[in-house]
Amino acid sequence: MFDLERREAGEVVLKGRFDAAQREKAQALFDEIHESVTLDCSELDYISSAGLGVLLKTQKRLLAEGGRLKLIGVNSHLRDVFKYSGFDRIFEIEPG
Amino acid sequence: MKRGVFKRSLDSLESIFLFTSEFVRENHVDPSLLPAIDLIVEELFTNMVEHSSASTADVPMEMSTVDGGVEVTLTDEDADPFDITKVPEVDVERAVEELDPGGLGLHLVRKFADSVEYHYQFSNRQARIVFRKTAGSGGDDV
Repeated sequence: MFDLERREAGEVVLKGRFDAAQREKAQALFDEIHESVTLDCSELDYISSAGLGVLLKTQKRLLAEGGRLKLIGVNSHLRDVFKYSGFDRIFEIEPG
Repeated sequence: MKRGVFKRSLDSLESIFLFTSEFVRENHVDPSLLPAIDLIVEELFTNMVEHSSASTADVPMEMSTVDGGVEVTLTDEDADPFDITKVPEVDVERAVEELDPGGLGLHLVRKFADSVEYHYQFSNRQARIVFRKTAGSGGDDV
């Protein structure tokens, strides 16, 4: 299960597993973000290309609007996925 | 060897992840391999669901242990031939404006798996994809 929780201005916590079964729900939640935010991934266990697609679409939209996503608390699995997909070039990422 | 059969739906992913985690635990496979195993299985299974839409057949999956890891076989029944090992590489160095998530799934499969084999039988329109994931290969270098 995947969930997204807004904690305070500019910070969003991602939780659970960001897989293809969660894509539509996740996209709807990310579509509500309209400013630069820091995504706390310390409770995000897993991501696949479906999750990457949602993050990429959101990042492109925010960059066009003058904002951006920053990822913090990234575990080793997420770090590998971001590295192999080239996402470490387009997101500011801090390890967990 | 452990065998499961899953409905051709993204809703099956939860059951598939339960299947893989049970296999890893029961067979004392290095648990740090599980996220990579799940990712490879998800990308291959999702590819079957979304790109073999004409088929309604369930998807059998087999897992067995090999030295240092696992071998997994996914079978796509009533499928058109589509050799995933021949798909061109994705250029992940493109500018963000040009990046597209299309193709990233199979790109990640190549990066995380030790090996990926594709076998197709025209006689019964059956595709079998076999991959291996062991410790020390891509995606578990922590």
